[in-house]
Amino acid sequence: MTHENEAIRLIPLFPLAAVVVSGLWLLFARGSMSRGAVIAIGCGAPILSFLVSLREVFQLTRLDEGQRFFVDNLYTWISADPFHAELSFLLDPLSAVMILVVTGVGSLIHIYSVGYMDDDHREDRGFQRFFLYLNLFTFSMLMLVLGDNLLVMFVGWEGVGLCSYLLIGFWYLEDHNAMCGQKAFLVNRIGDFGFLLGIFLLFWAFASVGSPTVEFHEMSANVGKLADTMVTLPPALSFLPAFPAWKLLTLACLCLFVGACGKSAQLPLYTWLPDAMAGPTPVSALIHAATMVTAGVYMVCRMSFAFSLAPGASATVAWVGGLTAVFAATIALTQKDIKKVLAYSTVSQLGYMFLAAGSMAYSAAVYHLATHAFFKALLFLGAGSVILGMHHEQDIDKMGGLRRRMRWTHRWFLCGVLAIAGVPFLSGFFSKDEVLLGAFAAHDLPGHMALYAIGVLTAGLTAFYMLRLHYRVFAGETRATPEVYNAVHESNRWVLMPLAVLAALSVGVWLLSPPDLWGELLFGGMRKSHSLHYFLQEAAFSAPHDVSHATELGLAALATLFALAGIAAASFLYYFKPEMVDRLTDRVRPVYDVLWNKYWVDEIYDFLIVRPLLWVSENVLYRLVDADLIDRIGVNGTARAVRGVANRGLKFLQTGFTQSYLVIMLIGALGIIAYMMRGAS
Amino acid sequence: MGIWDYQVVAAILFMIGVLGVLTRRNIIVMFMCIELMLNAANLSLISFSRLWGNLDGQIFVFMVIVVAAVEVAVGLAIMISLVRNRDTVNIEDTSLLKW
Amino acid sequence: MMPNLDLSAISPMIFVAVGAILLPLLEVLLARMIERRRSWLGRTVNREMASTAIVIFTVLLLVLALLRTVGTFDLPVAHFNLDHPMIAVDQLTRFLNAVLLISAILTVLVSSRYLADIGMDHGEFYALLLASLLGMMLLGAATDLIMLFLALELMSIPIYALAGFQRSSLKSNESALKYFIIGSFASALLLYGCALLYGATGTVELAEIARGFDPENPLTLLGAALVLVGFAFKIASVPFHQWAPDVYEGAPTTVTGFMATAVKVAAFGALIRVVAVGLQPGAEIMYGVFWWLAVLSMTVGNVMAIIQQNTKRMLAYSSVAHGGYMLVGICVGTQSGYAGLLFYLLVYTFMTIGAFTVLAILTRDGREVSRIDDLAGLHETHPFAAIVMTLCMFSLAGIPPLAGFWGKWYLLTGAVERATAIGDTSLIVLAVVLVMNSAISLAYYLRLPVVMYMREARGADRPDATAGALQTTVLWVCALAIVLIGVVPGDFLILFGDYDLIASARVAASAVSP
Repeated sequence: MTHENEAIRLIPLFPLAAVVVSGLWLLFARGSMSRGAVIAIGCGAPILSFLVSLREVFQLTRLDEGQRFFVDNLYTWISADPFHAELSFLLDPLSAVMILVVTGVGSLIHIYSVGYMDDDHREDRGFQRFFLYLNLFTFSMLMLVLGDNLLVMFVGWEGVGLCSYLLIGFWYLEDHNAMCGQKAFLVNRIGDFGFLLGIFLLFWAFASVGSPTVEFHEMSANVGKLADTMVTLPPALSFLPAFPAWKLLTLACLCLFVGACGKSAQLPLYTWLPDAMAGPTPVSALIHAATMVTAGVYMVCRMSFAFSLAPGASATVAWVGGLTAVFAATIALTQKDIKKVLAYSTVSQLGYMFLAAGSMAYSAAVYHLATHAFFKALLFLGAGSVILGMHHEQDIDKMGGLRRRMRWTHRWFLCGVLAIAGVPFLSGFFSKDEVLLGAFAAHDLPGHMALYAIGVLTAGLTAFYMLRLHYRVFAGETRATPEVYNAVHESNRWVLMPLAVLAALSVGVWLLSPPDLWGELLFGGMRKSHSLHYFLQEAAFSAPHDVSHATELGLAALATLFALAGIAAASFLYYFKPEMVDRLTDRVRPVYDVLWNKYWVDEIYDFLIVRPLLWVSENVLYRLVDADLIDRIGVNGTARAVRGVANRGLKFLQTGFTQSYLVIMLIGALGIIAYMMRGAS
Repeated sequence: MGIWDYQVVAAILFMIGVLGVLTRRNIIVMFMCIELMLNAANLSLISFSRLWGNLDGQIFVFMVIVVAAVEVAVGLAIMISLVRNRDTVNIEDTSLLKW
Repeated sequence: MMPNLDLSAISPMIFVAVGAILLPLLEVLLARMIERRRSWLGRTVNREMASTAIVIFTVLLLVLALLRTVGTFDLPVAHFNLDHPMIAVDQLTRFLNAVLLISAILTVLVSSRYLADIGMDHGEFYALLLASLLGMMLLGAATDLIMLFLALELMSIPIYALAGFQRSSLKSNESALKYFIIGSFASALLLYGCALLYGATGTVELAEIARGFDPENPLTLLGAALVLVGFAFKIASVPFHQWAPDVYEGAPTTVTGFMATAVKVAAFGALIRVVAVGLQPGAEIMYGVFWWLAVLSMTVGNVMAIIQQNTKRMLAYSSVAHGGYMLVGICVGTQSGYAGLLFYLLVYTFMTIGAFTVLAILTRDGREVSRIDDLAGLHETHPFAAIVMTLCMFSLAGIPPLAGFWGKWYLLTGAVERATAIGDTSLIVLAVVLVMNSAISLAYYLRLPVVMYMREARGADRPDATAGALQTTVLWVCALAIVLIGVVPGDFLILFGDYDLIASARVAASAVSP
């Protein structure tokens, strides 16, 4: 039984090849490739990767239980004995789910982009550049999820960050877009800093117990040695709980989680994600909903062997996730930009995933990650179709009644809405149940019942704001001007086809791997060994829960009740009695204002962090330190001194006269002779 | 005369060659001084060959004589092209390249 | 008695020697046929075709020699004359020969077009180049003072002629003359050193000399000192470097590229063998000499390079500085030190030839780009040349992940390892000086990209030249080598089978060091 599998490298290779071909073309050729070539290369690469992924994941499921992983070792990247890091890939159940999502949803979004970017003529070579970036993103994301050690993962991690920046600012000619790209990049740097610290800390810790490694399998095997290692915190941190002795793993995991917060837009680093909506809509769907932002969740699950030994860190993860979920959901209630609503919804759903991961229900987190990828991609692509039809209008106050002009978009969008709202027997329903069940069953987690309550409440809020969005866009009478409304058209086939596929997946993907309870109820338990939970157990450790089936059904019913209540409320307000909305808004004006202004978080950050930093940077660091001390005295002073020595002194030894050279040579030779002969007898 | 007398002669010849290269301005004379240095080395080699009683030194000398001849050929060619371009054999006239 | 000869051991050198002898004949033959127009061949062939044929013939020979060298790399050591081991073909020789052949092939590929551009398209060029190359290959293999001196002269004398190849140019003339006078002077010093070493030990074989080496005998020490002076001249280390800028500036550009790389490779190869085998018992005494040579070369080379306005002169001082970096490997004096040096030589060859190739490409009708400022806006007129030049500069400066970085990396790790092993702080000081000098060197290496990319092409005094296909090929080879060796210095490369360059360098170094 060998676990070597050289086919794995093909999966990231296809997008990389596309990037190289397309990139060289853009570098050296004038003009862009023909449209057909761009489509063939740009869409062909992820589709090929997807096919290879399917085949390899199928091979993976045929391996023996407990032994399900493939390794593909390309070469030794860094060798400094005894430490060495390989550039190698690991395909196990966890990365299997991820690559299927990345390449599968990715391929659909690539295809969608053909239709979406078609009418974009802001730049000659924009079409090709767009696909180049998308392919580069796919490559980086695959490196991230397939890397079998923290270093390769980090390379992918930074790569996706770069692509995110490039794509948010894709229409860089407008200042606003470029600024949004920068904001995303800078906020992510804060997270990356934590992630790096975490990597260093872990590496140092493993080295100190005699196994210097960053490779996941080896770390997982040796993590037991670190379980009782303690560190002493500096006195400045005395306000922290359990001061001064912390478990090393807790500290390391918290550092890693800071990285996850940045990438996956959790409190307090979530502010970049809503602004990232400045990018083209397919980008929002691919990067800022389905794949990149879930990298943090993936990382926590990948490191589950460490997190599960650090209860303090796990509790932090769960609470940050839960609070983010409800916090973002409340903001989403009032937003008027169609993409902003979806963005806050994404933040909220990511919070759900962390809630599950923090409750040590890692398989639930990944399950929700997968279903969310499908329905959120669907929602974003649907929104993109609406934006196309409305000629780049995004304000839902100027929409309404689109149901009659965009029949297909309306239908597919509705599938997504119902799935995320948690309507029974759509995929969102099952994954959300798993998450809530995880929180409910996590007895070791402080305040787990409160978290469960937050989760259920968020489910209700989610149902409400999603239905509100749907009604405001598609139902009722239009609020657009007649000219605009009459020009609205259904999108082309490139756009609708991916929508249909994603809608089908949003509705029915759970059939591939229903949770234990439902598998048993609906299929008589025969499929238990096929459930995702079971599949993932090998890669991401999950605590078994002791909740009886009756309780589980009860919990599901409760969550469904809240979801239905949210749906009912939204239907009442926005479908049956739309005139009540304004009156109600006036009644709760202060609350509404807080939510509408997103709790003024951006403004607070600006006042507390950005402005002081800019002031110090401008006046102290730049003017004083950089310009005066370093530039004028340090760099230019040294340079002037060196040039002075050369220009006034050394240069004149180089007279151009052969014999003067010979004299200097002779002096040198005599020097060498004298030096060597000093020991002679 | 003993071996070391030859060595002293060789060393003196070598020093004369070195000083000649350093002080004379005429390229051809400089060149002859370099030949003098080579021949000083030859003399030294031959007498050492005598001292150790093996032929290595003498073989070396034959090789050096050949090399010296080749050097003359190339060196004179270079000088001829210099004379054609500049009409001078003074080493101080060639200082275009400096600093 | 029949001498016991092994011709297959030196077959790459035989290829080169055959080329050096046949090329002038071939040239004359073709020229006569074209002149007389009697035969069918004489009527159909014109001068361009004839010179192309000569280039193809030369490159073919060199490639054959290269393949033969690389293919036999792993074989055990072979001697040409089994009774008197004057030429040892071991891994060190083969490694050096491979680098030398690469340098020569690249030079020939660039030269054909360049020579036409300066109006000097004569076949002797290649014959002289091959003769010199033969000397270099023998120099690295010489295990005997006679062979060492002969090879050194066989290398140098054709190079004197090549430096003055552009007969009508005053600068080329002066360059050849200076090189010739100073070179002969240095050779004479080296020869006298050899004579004294022979006198002190009674033998000319390096291994025997080591046995008879008495570190207290003034004769031995004087001889060793003079030999070191000879080598210090060849590798242009301060204070024996002053010829280099003048000669590099005046010589035809492709010759300069060849001088800057191949001469250095051969001289360092021979120096390794002399120091590690012949003068091994005097290692401690010589350490101080090399230490000072290294520090002075790095510092003076870099400082002087900063104030240069002429591109070739700037590169000349840069090569002096790089000679200093390489001397660090000699100072370390262990297998890993020598391996670092050999690896550096290989890397340095690609970076330097790449830079000089760009300059050669920009030559037209005898007009060259001389000042650095004349490269302004190169990215508009010659985008690819500008990219390669930038790569070469970054690599020379040692910016990761390019090849030059790893060259310095292995030198530094060698020095630090050795320093910690024997507890010697002077090696650490040397490593620090190396790092500081790398920083200084950025000042002039980055100037080229700045000029090329951030200034406008208008106002630059530059002939309207285009690159030939062969020249573009050389650019590609250099760029790819710099990038690929840089990205995967260890496993170079999965793509080309199992060529682990640094491991090869270690094997090569182990041929002479314990």
